[in-house]
Amino acid sequence: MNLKIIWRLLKREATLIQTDHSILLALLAAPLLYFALMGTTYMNKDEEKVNVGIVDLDHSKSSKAFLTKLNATQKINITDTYTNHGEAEKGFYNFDVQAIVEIPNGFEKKLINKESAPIGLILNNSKFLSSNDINKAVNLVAMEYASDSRQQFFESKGINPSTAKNKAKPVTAQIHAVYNPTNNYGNFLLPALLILILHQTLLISLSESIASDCKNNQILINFEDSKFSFFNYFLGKTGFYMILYFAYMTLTFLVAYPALNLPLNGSLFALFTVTFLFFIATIFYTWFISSFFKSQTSAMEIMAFTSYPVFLITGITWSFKEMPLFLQSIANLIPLRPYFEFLKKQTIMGLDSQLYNNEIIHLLALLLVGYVLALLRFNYLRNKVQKSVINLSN
Amino acid sequence: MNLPFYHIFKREMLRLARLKSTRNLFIIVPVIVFFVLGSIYYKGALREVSVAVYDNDNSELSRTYIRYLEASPNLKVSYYMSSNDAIEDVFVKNEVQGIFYIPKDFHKDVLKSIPVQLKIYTNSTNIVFGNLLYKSAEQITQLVSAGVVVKSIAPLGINPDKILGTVLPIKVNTKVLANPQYNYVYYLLPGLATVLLQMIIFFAATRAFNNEWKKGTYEDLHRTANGNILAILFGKYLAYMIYSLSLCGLIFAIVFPVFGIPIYGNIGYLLLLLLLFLTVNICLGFGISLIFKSEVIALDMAIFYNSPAFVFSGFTFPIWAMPWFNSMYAQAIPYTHFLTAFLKIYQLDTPFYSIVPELRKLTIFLVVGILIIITGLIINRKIIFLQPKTSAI
Repeated sequence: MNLKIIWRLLKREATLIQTDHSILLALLAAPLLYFALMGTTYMNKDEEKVNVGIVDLDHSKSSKAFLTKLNATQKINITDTYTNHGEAEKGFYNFDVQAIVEIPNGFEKKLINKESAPIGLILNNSKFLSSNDINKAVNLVAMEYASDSRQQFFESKGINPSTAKNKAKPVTAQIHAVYNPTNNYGNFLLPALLILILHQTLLISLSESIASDCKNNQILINFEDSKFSFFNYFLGKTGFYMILYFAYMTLTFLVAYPALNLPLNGSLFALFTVTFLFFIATIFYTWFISSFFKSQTSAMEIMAFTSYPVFLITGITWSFKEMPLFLQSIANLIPLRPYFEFLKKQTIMGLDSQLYNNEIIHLLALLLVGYVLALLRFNYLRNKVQKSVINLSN
Repeated sequence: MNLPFYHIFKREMLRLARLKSTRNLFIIVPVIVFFVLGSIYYKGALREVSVAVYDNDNSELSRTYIRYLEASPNLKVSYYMSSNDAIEDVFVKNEVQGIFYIPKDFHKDVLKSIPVQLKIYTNSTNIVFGNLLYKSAEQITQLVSAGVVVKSIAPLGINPDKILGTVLPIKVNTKVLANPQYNYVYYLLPGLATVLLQMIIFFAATRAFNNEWKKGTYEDLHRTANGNILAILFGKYLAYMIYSLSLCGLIFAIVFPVFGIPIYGNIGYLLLLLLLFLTVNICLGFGISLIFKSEVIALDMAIFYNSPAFVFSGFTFPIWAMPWFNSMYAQAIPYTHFLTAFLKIYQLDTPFYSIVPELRKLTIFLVVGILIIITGLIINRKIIFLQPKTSAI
């Protein structure tokens, strides 16, 4: 390893980045802009006051009281009042409202007569989040009515109000959403999304740089200047990215996380160390894959489409176990998979280190695989370059 | 046929067929990505989510409660905790997503009319599990609670016809429209596939003109069109449309049937919507291609503009919950409006009038696309409107 050579290559890479607007855009502008755009998108963490339409055919005090209670919930905002089902359907189809609550004629009469009074709830389930929130809110209000009705019955039988209240709700569920107390969407998605932004910008910019080297025969010059040493070449070529992504990592955990109110429960030292290892593993893989591209545009076209599959295959939005075995195997070969697990256990769950050691070992194994792949590819390209140099000199 | 437009169309079809980029964008990327995305969610809905139970009462009622948990299709009791187990350890070591804690004296307290709270811990680092467990826990607990109430009501004397009205005065009859199966493949794959459709068309179109300049074939293009720029634009547009429609064919005729995704709506409306959506993206791509001579910079613009389209579309997180700036940005992406109309047609089978607002918005994007094309034609007029060589002589 020769520091002078590494420094020379590092400066050359910095010059390439400075002069290539595309790499500059992907490396410096994109992460910051996406952080701002994506981060603020989920800033409110959860939805509130979802538009709901009503059809009140009963026009009674009871129906109005029920609807007032519904409107008072955090998730529901009654925005449209329709006179009949047909009119409501039109609003529903126009997506003016995400659900319709229909109170039939005779609602109050049935409540007074202690008969079960049915109400209709029509949900637009094309988007799960809103549909779930409305469903939950309407059922909770209906359960409040159930509790009051039971209490009134027990009181009518001479039981004192306090005991009647207890008898009305003998068993309740106290649900604690551990590690995400409000069960909100922002805390669920943002930690992974911020890392994905860094991962993808690193992938695209580095692959553009390497593809550009391959196309302009710069790879040959870099190999020669590195004295055909893998370490010289690799540290010189990717050193700039390592330093820059260390800075981004610091920005993510020390600025973006607190600004977006995301949890950081574990040790910062462990977090920084493992995150840095993750970036190095990503750099190895990226270098290996990009060395096959012949042009920047091909590299960009392919790499841009990796965002959704690599993110979703890690099981961040779904159950990893429920995926087909071959996809699980592929996912286990991507550094994002153990890193996301580590990030979840370390920063969100705040677990003891022994409970995420497996993820660190997994990541180290992938780092080793990436290193071996990059080294083999380097040796192959070096031999090819050396042969062509010999042929030229002959 | 001796029309310049037709010659351009033919030339463009052949040019695209020979481009490596076309092979990548229209064959390799969609086949791999659609298949991978569909396979991730191939099971459709989550069933039998692993949970642990800590029964500190070991009574008849606690066992009944556990039997209800075991009978739920959403849950699978995979671990019975002991007093030595720590919650955090159980979540990680036993890979459960929820823990049901039944307190001591559960049964006795219920009999003594002392209200009992069952504690349920859900691992909400993934809200898909969190929401499912919440729903199941509430349902089962309410069922057990209602059962206890019915047992205590009966001896007090009540007309049997009034029991249900007393215990459950308001019955919510829920009708779920658009994906009533709560199937994740039906939910996510169409959205992901169509956002990738936009990206692919856009990326391809951003190289329609600058690639000709880069390869030095623009003169030939100009000559083939007899210098008619409109013929160049329409000829290229039609060729890109054919390729785009073939991609739509892959999505709707292969991906959808393979993963069993139903289309409930009118195919005619869907085709109309798709034609407008594809035209918008082709025009926007052409505009960028005419403005930026560098393919790489044009692609950068396309990547930057399109990459967040899914997040901003409001599909997984509603636009109304976003801050105003993000919500404005969401409106500036054609995919947001396409998706709304697409969901209306394919999932809700809505009448035509309901997609008119989205068609209008997409038409505005079309006008914007045409204006960008005109801007590109003006900026790079010297290299677009070539002077005939004879006049130079």
